[in-house]
Amino acid sequence: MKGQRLLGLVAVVGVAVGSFWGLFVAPADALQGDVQRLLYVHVPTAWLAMLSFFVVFLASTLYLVQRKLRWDLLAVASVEIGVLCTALTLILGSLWAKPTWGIWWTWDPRLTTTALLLVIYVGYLIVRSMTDDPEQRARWAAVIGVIGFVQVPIVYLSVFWWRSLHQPPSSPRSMATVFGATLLLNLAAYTLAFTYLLLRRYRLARDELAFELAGPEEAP
Amino acid sequence: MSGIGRRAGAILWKDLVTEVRTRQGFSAMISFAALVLFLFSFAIGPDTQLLGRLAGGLLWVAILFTGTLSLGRAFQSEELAGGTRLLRLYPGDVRAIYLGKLLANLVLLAALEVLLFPAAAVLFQIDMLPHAPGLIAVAALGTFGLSTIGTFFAGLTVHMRARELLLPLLLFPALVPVMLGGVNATDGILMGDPMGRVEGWVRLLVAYDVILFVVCVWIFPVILEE
Amino acid sequence: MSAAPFLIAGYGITWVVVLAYLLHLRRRERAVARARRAGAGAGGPEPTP
Repeated sequence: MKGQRLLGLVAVVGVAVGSFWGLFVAPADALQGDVQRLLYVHVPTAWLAMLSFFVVFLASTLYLVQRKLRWDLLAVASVEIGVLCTALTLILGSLWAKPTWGIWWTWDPRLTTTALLLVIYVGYLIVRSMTDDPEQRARWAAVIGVIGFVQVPIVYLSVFWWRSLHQPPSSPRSMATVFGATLLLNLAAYTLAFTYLLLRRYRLARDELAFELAGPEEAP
Repeated sequence: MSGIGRRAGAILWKDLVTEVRTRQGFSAMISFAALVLFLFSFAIGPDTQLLGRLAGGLLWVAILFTGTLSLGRAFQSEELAGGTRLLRLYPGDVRAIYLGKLLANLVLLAALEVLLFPAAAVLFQIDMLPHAPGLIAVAALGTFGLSTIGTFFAGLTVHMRARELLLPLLLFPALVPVMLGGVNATDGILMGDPMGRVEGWVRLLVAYDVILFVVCVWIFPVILEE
Repeated sequence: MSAAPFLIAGYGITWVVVLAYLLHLRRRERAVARARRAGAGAGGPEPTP
């Protein structure tokens, strides 16, 4: 519990420092000007969205193999945060696209795939709400967690062939060192924040399940 | 293996006999698909040339919508008679249930497409006959993909509340590659493949069909557990 | 086009969403804790074996 609080504190400080650095210390981009500073949130949220859905895939597979409810709890914690990050990625991307490309939305493969991801995992959450039986809920969810993730590369590929216009992915290597270092700092900070949220959501899911299963008399 | 094949065949036969004897399902499907073609034509306007260029998209939208409705009924006979409890009473590997339902759905959709493609050729004034082999191949690949993932989600949602909403919600995002592959390959074939891209789309459809078939067959027993 | 409104909106929305999620988690955590205490005080139903 104490370690969790410390992790949260470090994450908050990290995100604050990272954002300050990205907004005020790092130089403005030569081509795009200050708008490029959105990169320092957009890329971390996109990375976390991918990471969380990968965690969901792993947890769902482990659940199907081992049938331990704790994997299901990890999966639902990760899906919730992943859906939030996906929605944020789309909003931030839109806010970035308007001043740079002059449009809010374009049928770019990564954009379109991200939007579809959001729909797939919102579907996952809705399916979970359809039953009160923890085992059945875990089974249904694990199935979607696996199938949903298997779909991602092939959906991406199909949309990629259909249309393409995004700038190549921003990775630290493809940018000048200052930008790269700022991005790395932000990626690390947001990943810490993700870990904190994931742990906290996992504990909540565990407590709620224990309450659901054992009734109120169970000791905390 | 032959045991699975025989059991799947038995389920396929049972579903087809039920379908032929009751008949309402299939005629409703055909009327619905034709209505979708009409509705989209009304939405786009009576410009036949424009409709001809959009034919691939209109056809596949009609197939996907009708397929979703038909998939929603895939497990209905068992559902009405006692739900998955009844399905689990079928002897042998439960994967046979999945394969049988998948085949039954393929037969239904193939029958639908045999009528739908000529109807589209007439409505949109396209000359389809010279391209028939390519069109049949693309239709087969797309329909197999639709039925593979569709039968799986139909089995998953059969006991859920609001399943008639949930099935399309889960199914449509999963069908994006089928839609894009089917539409682009169909349009490419109808236009004589000017960009040489049909082969790529066909490969995408094949890859999709194989990957999802393997995953669905592997996981299907999970959704029938209790 | 000035970048400031887009930056404020972008960073602002991110932080507000994360904060709202944290508050939502805390509300649910408290609800579980409260339900447990109330259940323990009143005896509650038999725990399932």
